[in-house]
Amino acid sequence: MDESFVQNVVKAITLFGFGGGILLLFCIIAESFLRWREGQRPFSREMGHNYLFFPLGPLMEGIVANALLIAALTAAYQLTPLHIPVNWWTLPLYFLTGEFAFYIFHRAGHELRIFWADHSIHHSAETYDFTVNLRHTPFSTLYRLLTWTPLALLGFHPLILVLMAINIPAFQTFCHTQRIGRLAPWFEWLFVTPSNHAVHHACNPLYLDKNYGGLLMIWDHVFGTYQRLEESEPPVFGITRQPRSANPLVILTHEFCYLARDVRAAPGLFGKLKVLLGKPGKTFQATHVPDPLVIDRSATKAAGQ
Amino acid sequence: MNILMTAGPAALLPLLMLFPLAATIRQTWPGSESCKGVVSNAVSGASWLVPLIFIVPMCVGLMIVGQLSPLPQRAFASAAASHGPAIGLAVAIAVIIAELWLVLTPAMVVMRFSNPAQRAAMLALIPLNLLLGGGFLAIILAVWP
Repeated sequence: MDESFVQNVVKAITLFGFGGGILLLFCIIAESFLRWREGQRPFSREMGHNYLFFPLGPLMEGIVANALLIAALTAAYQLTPLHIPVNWWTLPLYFLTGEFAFYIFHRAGHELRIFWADHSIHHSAETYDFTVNLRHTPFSTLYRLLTWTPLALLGFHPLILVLMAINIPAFQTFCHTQRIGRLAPWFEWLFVTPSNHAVHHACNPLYLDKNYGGLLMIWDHVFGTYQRLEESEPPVFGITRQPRSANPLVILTHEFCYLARDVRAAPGLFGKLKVLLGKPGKTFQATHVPDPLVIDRSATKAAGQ
Repeated sequence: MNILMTAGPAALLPLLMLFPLAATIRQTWPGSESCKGVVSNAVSGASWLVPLIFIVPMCVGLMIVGQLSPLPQRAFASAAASHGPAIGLAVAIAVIIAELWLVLTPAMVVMRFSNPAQRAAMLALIPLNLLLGGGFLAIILAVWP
């Protein structure tokens, strides 16, 4: 791999991180300011959790996890004889592939229990504001690596994939708001917007496991996971098994605890693997005493049917 | 024509940058929601904002490390000296776009697309946006004069 090219891309990733950081800071200040203007408290408990997770999540991811991701993807890239050059003509291919990679990574985060245990931390916010995008953990780098390694083996340059990995969550910060309504229908169809990302964050049955796109919605249209925000169905933000604890450790670990309990109780090795790699809500579940600090929306729905 | 001959395809870059600039101005200008039609959508439609997802953070990052001046004429001069006038012009336009997004455009976008009942509360976002973006640019100019 050309040394100067690598240095240039790493420099670009760093510069992008600095610029995105400033814009993120402005968004966070604006969020509290707007809450105050709207007559709410400038800071909520949930925002406090979001801030608390920032050093653990995006910051750690930016400094440590992405370096490990680059190293691992580069190792895979060097194993393959296929190399797709990076130039003006291949950038659209890289863009679409980066989008596809994000779609797969994001869908895996929702549809495999082992990864959902981590990604549910981001979705456990019952509000939908700019600070929600601070609520991540570096564990997501692991499943980003698993879902992106095949692309590196196909010859896609790992640094460009990582540039996309940074760019997409940075852009999505601006989508985490309810203050912007639906935009032009064609724009909603093609791009990730605040309203179709609100669908993604909602736990209404109609909206569950929809709209995984990063910048574009095209892969959602291709795989049938697109859902527009319906006027008749206001989004309820959060997850189906909603922790209502003031303890950030509970927020961080609640799905991991359920996962561990179900894996332990599942019969046989194959049964345990099925729990780990199964779809949330569709795998073996151990019997348990309901936790008063957890709202089980799926149970409420089942009882109502 | 002469520039096009000497700079090659790079001469098209400033021309291409005019579209995201037009789209940014359209989002920033009060009352421009009445701007409709095939030509205006082709020239300043929201699709032209997509490249800004890369361009704006990159410009801000370059400003932070002192490699890009927030003053468009200085940005032009330094980029033109190393990469030619066409790239210099494209960089200067990129700086103008980034600065619009730093100081005003986000507030105007929120104002335009927010719930009409909430717009009065949102009005204060304009001075806040000016303060944050203007403050950032002032610090950059003070640190990297």
